[in-house]
Amino acid sequence: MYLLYLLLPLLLGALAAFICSFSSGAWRYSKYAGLGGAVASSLLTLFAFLKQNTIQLGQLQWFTAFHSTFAISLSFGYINQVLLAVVAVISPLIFFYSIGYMDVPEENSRYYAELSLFAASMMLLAVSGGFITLFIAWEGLGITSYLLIGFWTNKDAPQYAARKAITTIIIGDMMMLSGILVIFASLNTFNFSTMISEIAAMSTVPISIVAAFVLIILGAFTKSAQFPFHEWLSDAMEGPTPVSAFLHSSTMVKAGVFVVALLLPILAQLGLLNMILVFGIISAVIGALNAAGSTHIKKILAYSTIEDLGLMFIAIGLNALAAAMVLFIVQALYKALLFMNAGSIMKANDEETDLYKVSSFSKNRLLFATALIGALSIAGIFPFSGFFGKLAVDSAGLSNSTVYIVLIVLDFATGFYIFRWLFIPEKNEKKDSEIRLRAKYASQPKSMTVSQVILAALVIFLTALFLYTNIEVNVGAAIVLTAGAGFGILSAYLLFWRLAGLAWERSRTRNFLSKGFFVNAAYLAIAKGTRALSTAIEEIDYFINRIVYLGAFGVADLGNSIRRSETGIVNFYAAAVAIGIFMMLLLLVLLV
Amino acid sequence: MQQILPAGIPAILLVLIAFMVLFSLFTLLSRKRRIYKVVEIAAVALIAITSFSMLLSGYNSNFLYLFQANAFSELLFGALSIGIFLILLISFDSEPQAETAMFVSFVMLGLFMVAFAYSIIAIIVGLEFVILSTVFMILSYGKKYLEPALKLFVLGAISTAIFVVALALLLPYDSSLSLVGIAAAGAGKFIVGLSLVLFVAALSIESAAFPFNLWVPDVYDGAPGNVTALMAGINKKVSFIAILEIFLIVFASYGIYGNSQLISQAFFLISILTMFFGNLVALVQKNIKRMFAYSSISQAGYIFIGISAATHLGIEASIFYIIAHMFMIIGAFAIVFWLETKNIRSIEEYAGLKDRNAFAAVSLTILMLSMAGIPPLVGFAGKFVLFSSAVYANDIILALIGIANSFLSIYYYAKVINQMFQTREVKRIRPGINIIAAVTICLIFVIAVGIYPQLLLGWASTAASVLVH
Amino acid sequence: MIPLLLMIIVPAAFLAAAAAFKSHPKELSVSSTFIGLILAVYFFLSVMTSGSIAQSYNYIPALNIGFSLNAGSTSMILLLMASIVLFVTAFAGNVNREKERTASLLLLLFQAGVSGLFLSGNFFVFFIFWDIGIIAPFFMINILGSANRRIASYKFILYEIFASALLLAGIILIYFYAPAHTLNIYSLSSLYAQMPLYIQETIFILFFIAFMINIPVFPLHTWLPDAHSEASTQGSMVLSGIVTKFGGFGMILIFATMPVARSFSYYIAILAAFSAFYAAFLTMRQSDLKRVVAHTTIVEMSIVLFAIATMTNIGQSGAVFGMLSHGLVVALMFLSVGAIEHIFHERKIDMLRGISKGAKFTAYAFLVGIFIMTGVPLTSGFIADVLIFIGGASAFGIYGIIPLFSLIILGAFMYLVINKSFFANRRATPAAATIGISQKMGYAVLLAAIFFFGILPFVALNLINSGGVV
Repeated sequence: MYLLYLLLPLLLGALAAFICSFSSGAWRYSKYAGLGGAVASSLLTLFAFLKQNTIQLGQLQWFTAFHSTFAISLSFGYINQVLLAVVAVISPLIFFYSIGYMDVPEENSRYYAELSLFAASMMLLAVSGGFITLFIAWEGLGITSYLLIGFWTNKDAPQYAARKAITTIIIGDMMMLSGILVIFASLNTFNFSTMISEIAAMSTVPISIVAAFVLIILGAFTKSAQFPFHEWLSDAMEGPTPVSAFLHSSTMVKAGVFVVALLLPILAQLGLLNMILVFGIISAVIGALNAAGSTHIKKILAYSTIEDLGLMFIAIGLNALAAAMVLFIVQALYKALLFMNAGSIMKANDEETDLYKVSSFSKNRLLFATALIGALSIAGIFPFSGFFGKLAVDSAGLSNSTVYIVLIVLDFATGFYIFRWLFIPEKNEKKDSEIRLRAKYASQPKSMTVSQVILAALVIFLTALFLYTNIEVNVGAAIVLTAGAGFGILSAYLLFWRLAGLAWERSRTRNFLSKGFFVNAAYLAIAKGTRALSTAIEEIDYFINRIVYLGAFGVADLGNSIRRSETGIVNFYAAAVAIGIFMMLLLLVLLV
Repeated sequence: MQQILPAGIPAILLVLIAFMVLFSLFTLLSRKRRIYKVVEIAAVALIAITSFSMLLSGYNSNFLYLFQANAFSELLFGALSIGIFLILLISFDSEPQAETAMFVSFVMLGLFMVAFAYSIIAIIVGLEFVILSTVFMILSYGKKYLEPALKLFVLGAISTAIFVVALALLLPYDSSLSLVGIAAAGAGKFIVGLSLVLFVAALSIESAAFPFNLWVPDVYDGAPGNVTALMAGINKKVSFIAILEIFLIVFASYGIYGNSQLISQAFFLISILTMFFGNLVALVQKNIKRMFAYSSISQAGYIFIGISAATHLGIEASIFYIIAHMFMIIGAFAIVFWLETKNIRSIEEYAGLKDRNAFAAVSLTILMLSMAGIPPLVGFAGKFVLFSSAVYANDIILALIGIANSFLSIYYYAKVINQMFQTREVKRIRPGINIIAAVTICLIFVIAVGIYPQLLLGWASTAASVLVH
Repeated sequence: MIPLLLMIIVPAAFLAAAAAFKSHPKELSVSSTFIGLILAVYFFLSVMTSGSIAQSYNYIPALNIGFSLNAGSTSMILLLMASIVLFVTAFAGNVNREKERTASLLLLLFQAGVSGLFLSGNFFVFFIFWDIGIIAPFFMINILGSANRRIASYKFILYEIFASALLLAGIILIYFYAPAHTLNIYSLSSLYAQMPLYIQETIFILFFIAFMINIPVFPLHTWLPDAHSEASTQGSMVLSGIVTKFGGFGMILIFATMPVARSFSYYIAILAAFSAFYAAFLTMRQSDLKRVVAHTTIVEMSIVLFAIATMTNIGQSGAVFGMLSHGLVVALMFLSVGAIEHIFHERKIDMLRGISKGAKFTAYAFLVGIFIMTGVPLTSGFIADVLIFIGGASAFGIYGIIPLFSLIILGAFMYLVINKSFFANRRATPAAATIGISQKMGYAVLLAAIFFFGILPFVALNLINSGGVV
């Protein structure tokens, strides 16, 4: 139960920040509430890692309904630890970064409350050992993510983005939930380990269970922004940048990968890995190509995240859990770093996001250095930790030649788009505002700089860590990776540094790529279809209403025709009496 | 049961009524008519109290060769006396005062005769009293009421004629004319059947059963509101009393009335037709009085359910519903009558009644809901007992049709309720204290007996056991 | 043991008092509903500790009908929910304090009806209180409602009285065919088998259609959107929160007691699932905030019916929990819509912008309402969804979860409304009024109840576990 205490500081922080929102002057304390909660929680996590042998993992019985028991089960296995470590490292940095970044007094409390709740959900997800726990965390992620994407209420675009995100989220949640419930209905358990052993013991698995796991995988895809559910992620960049750095690159989007990783033995047994592999490849390719087409400073990173997640799914699809986990860790660090860099630029440029309108990274040396470290890491250049992540996946890919070719292309593409991202602003001429901008870069809040430097240091430090661990490395793959990435960087250098990239930017290819392969158009078509269906149903409803009215009028008409008996003539009434008597006599004769 | 009242008590009743009649004749001559009216109302109250005390003490006797007092007559006479009391209350201010008072006391006399009848002569004379005094009462309100009065007179005459023919068919077998005597006489089956049909027709004209009821809306609509209340509340109930007495005492012993017998089937058909006719036509009415006229027709149809069942429970239910409907319809017509004096007649004009007078709107609503059979009001209790009696008599169809009709009736009641609770810019008006008192008595009855029907049901059961053993 | 009758006598006494005295109508209704809530909690606890309570009084001995009351598990859960909703309705529902006396009188009448209905031990009592529970909301629409209230209330009363006529017909049939003419709901369960099969089927169909109108389920739902959207805020709260539960309660009673239900359940489940989708699509076409919330009721209640039709214990307990949850949440949502109307004098989604700016608490209460409706964990909605669809999956396999996807359509549209009208602050509609502390307390009480049952569901579930759904 110790693991549940990890959430406590964050929840308290959220509560404190929430309370701050009630008093007009208290907003300035909410950031400390948030940061304090995050730090305390990370410290508790550190303690958990140190004392891992003594941690009690029990089931906390929640409620029972007839013969079904619903329990909160926790787990502290290898995969849990990976996610927990990532969250614990990144969350204090994000909170710290936010202190500098968020300068909207009246909204601060809401921001920190929501962010703390998000971090708590993430912690819960990381320690979950059963579907009930997982789903509680899962929905928590969905809702806080929704709220944070739509955080800026004074603009319309974030609201649109939030809507899109929540639509995807709710689709995913319902698929996830239905999968979970179908499994529970047949196995009567929510616990992962019980489930794994029970299914392993089955000789033939019922089709409904297979379908349920397909639903769960699809649910995981929505959260991890995989094709065809990936488009919400690029729109989600409308949220505040720390949110993008935290939720939409390093932690929340990993939830899907995490779930699939937890269920890997079952999925392997059910033969669902190929499905994951195919969707991973499609997503990675789409992500990389979109990233090469976009000119939005954050969306490029978002598409890159889709690619990274696709790579993780590819690794899982190849049943290479370790490779996926390595990428899982390193990607969190470098992607958070890159987002923070992007945030710094946007802050210095009055929230401008167009790559062709912002000023260069190099106006602030430190910023440029950290961005370069991040970019080299994501591209997979040797001394940086990203190299190991990529290498692990590439090595796993060696088993399947098609996959491996795709991976090489992706290596090239990654180097290309990330340096495109880095180089284009360098060529932007902004002479008039040069001095003002420089001042802005220089006056960047300390907390932002510090977080970036720490993350950059971690990106390098992790390399050292990997050098001392014995992960399987294929030297050939390493060479190919370096060559691919180097070639990508080189083409980016030539195109965007030397030629200022105009040829590429005006090319039809880029234009096509920036359209996102018409996935958005497909979404719109579906939405339109749904609306058409609802219009049709409204017509039916109108029709039903008409029928009811017709019935009501019919009764009234009957009344009207009977009313003709009111003639007002006494003779008629007397005649009616006579007829009545006659009829009764007839009855009498007939019956007696 | 032990008798604690003196033996001459029915005579006291008769004396009281006679006093009332005489007294009302005096009012014709006097100018201080109000005070006479108060005295008359007090006399009616006294009569009702006497009747109920007879009921409570279990008084049973025959007197004057014409009358007999038993639980049935005492209950219905007492209850209908309250109805007359209410009618006197609501017509307290209406002109012409003296004539109203006088003819109401004649109605009272007729009611006494029918309720306490031992001889068929008493019944026919009583009915004549009731009809003719109503006719003259309508006429006394002015020339414009000539048409309804004439219609009522003609139909009343037809009814009497048929009645007399029916009676004549039985006369050869027993010249004593007492109800029990005729019952014991052994007439041929066909003759009895013929006579029975004619009785049904004669009394159906009065009790507004289809197809003998076509005159009802015209007369109810044409007559002044308080007379309409009298007709719907008292006259109709008097004929129901006659029906119960004649069919249960006279014809039960001939074996053609009773469970699933011929006459049961006739009443079965009459009941269904009457309910549907009343409800369907009421749907399309635009005038509130006509609507209530048709509604009271359909209510008569419900009473026939119990008569058709012809079991102890059925009669009990019918008696219960006769009394219940009397209160409901008099309460409703009290309000309608009062609004009529303010020139508010059509359903259209009822719009915004709650802004004119909330008491009237709410009371009328409660009374109408009760008539529609919405619990916990007396209408529901009555209908449920009626339907149950059909169930106990194995007549499930009748019960289901009754339910369908309950549904139909909410159709038009809701329409009126809908109108009344609209918001309109209208002038507030206030009814006189007499109207408020009358309506309040009806409401108390409707709600109290509705919530705990056993209050009345026990007595109804005692009364029914006089007729059905 | 306090008699159960007190639950009915208290509101009746307060009703009489409120009718007699002209002053302080609101205080009377608040105190009556508060006492009702306390009594409901008391009876809930005593049922929890010592099993169901049955009490009977003589009523109409001639017909062998008693005034019997029964406090079982479902009835107590629904009664508790209704008491909470009524209490909140009484003190927070009437924002602009219009026609307070009428509103209080009707609410008190309704309270008596509801208490009697959920506690009824035989069908006679059930019917009596059913109709009281219909008449009071009828006037809440007809007298207190908004512009189109006349046609809406007329439609409502016709549908509902039609339902009650069918109900009465069913009751009369039972009365006719049951041995010894008994109407006791709970002892009938063993007696149905003695009736001819076609009679059982007829009774079941009559009851089913009656309850189906009330719940309501396609194709008999067309009264609901009008009625719920034209009623006063208090009216909408009780209509959606409580009146639709009459039918749900009835459905549970007939499905759990009538053996013949099993042969219909499959088709009814299909109908309910269809109805959920149908209503979800219909919701998408609505432009009036109140109509939107009204339509969600059809979706949720169709899912409840689906749960009942699974014929599994867990599914039916999910149905009870779903009604508990939905009653609370829809009251919350109508309360906030009422507040929005009061603040902005506007209900159209297209006209409203930036509600969260002008009415922060209301906007978030509404948002949380949607969370609950879409089944977010730690709220009662989640527990309901989980139980219902475990029941669905165990009854119909993978197909049993299909109705869950109607919540996608519903949720997607609701969030669209949220983002369009609540959080798009750029051109925010100016607020014309503010809401008082009682409104905020209303949100707080309902939310507290929702989270209480979401986090501690066993409080309600143990009742069902030990006593079954009836």
